[in-house]
Amino acid sequence: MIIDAHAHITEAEYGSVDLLVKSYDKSGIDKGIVVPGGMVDVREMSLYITGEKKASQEIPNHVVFDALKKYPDRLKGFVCINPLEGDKALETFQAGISAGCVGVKLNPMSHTFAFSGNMLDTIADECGQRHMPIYSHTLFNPGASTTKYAEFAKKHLNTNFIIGHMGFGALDTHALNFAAKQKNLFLETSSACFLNLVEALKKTGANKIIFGTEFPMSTSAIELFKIDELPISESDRNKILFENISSLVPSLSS
Amino acid sequence: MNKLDPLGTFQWPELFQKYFPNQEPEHISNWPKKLVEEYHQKAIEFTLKHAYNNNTYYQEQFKNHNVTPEDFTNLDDLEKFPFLQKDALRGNPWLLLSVPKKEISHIHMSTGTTSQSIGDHIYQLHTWEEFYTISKYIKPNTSANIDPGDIVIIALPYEMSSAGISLHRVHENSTNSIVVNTGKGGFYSDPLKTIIIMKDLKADVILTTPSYAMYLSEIAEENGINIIKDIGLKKMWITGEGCSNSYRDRLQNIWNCKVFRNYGSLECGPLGVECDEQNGFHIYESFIHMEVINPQTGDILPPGNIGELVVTSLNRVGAPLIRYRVQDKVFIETAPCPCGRKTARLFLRGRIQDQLAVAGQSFSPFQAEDLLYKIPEMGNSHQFIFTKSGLTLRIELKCGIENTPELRDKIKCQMEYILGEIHKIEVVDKIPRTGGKTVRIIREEN
Repeated sequence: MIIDAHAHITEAEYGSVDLLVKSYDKSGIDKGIVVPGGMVDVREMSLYITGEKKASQEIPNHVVFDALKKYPDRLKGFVCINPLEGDKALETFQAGISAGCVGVKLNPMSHTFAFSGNMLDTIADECGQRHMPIYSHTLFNPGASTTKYAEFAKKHLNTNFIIGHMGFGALDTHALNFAAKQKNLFLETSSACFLNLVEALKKTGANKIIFGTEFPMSTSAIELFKIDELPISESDRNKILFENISSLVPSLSS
Repeated sequence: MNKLDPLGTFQWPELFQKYFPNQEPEHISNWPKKLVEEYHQKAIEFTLKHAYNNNTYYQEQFKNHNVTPEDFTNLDDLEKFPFLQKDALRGNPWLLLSVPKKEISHIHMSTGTTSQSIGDHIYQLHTWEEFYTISKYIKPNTSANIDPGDIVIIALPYEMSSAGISLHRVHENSTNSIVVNTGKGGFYSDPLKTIIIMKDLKADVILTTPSYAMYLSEIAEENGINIIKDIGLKKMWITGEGCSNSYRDRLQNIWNCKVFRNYGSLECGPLGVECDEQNGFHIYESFIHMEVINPQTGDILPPGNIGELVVTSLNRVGAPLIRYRVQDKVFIETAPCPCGRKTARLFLRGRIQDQLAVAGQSFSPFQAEDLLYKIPEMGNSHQFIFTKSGLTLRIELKCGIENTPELRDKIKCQMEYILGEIHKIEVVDKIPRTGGKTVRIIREEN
């Protein structure tokens, strides 16, 4: 069994759900968790970082909701929420639950918020009660740093948190250390460099590492190759490829 | 006819005769880099010799650093020479005097941004010739330019500070525009009167500070004057305080004209102005040489690195500046501007003393301000207040927006993205407008 814990899908063809499922078929991936993509056109990523292009503030959660209907046996979804939207954020959360979403995706880069404030606390508590993990990138910005994300996770011990791409930059030592220390913090492998994976294994063991692809920025085959290259036992490989994410999202096992 | 020299008797400095033979704004922004460097080398050579031969302070400083003007053989040699510190100028009006006193035609004094008590003010001395050449060469050769016949409102302080009177002189002489001074002693004139003047004369351009431009728009609205229909500015120059892109965007929307930032200081005079791209200040390389240094070590940083600005004047004989530490955080971009001009561009990150230190990290106030004014509920004024408990962000909300705990929480969450930790968001009806230089950063830690 292989489960991809992190793929973006977009309305645009380059990131369509059909393309994703095709890549799963090709690489032998059984299931995947999808989040809405397209708020930034990742084919021009650097222009968003330099500020030449602005991220869309409209969250295309409907792309995920539609995908869940189209591929109910292959896909689960995380609903993306902007905590700065106030009551609308809670409405989006509820809409996600109604559509069958099993976790929450945060996007501090596009929505420019810190891991703080009452709205995020409310969402994190709700997620804890519903056994829904929270997934987020961490950034260089002080309020959305790996350290702040870990502090946020520490406030909500009943909720599980996934650090996207194993943290900020090429090798985020803070991310590895926090994941090793905090029970409810996990590391997702997509786009992470190989040495980062090796170091994470030493610090956290295989129990804290979750396989993801970051489709369409990367491919299933490329991301799987990194896991195949790791000098680990079959048991540890299984933890990374599907057991750990299945423990956070029980419905993946059904 | 030249307004400053109607009889044509002005003795053009020798160096300028060579490099600017037509005595017209032959823009250095179009020169090849090699020619700019050659001109800078000659001008610095002249300045070092002039200062050494005519000023005892510079003479002592050079001796203490075991250098003479002869040690300067190329631009890289400038780093051998000592820095001029702001504190050396405080309370020493004649320290840099390098010509007989009678040759000085104007003295400017600091507005008090960094001078707080008796005896620590800074003075700058200028000869008539310096003003003349600066006036000729300040024309930015960008769309920020002001056309002959334009009605130019100078809403900047006139008393003491260089801002009002200098820009007045420049535009009267150099751009042949029609200048209307609505600034006064250390402050601005009555804002309603300024708005009325702008309306009656159908002003084309205003030169003012960002906060005062906002204040004028508020006064106009309170008095039923539609600044777009009743005035209809062509453009605006803002200076004096620095401001973020998003605050500038607000000004552009409110006034419905392009707003160009202009950068200068009392000590250095004009330093740069934006072009149509509004992406960095084109440096006035005709009379300023810039270096960027590591403020801790004094080492020169390569272009693109953020550090402290150091300025050497190229045409000043009255009180030349040699390696003057401006105490502003900047970086220099040498890549060509999309506008086509070849001059290097300077990007300002704020005064070193105004950097926001929160939870052990330092932030540019403009970076925080930029995010703040992107918040749709945000009004038109703010203050960063540092207390023992941490950073309080005092803000106004837009008219009609209700002050709720949810909104404060949201603003806190958004601003913490940049600042990491904020103690409190304090919403007030109105942050008092001063009619003078606006203070955005208040330190109450002690």
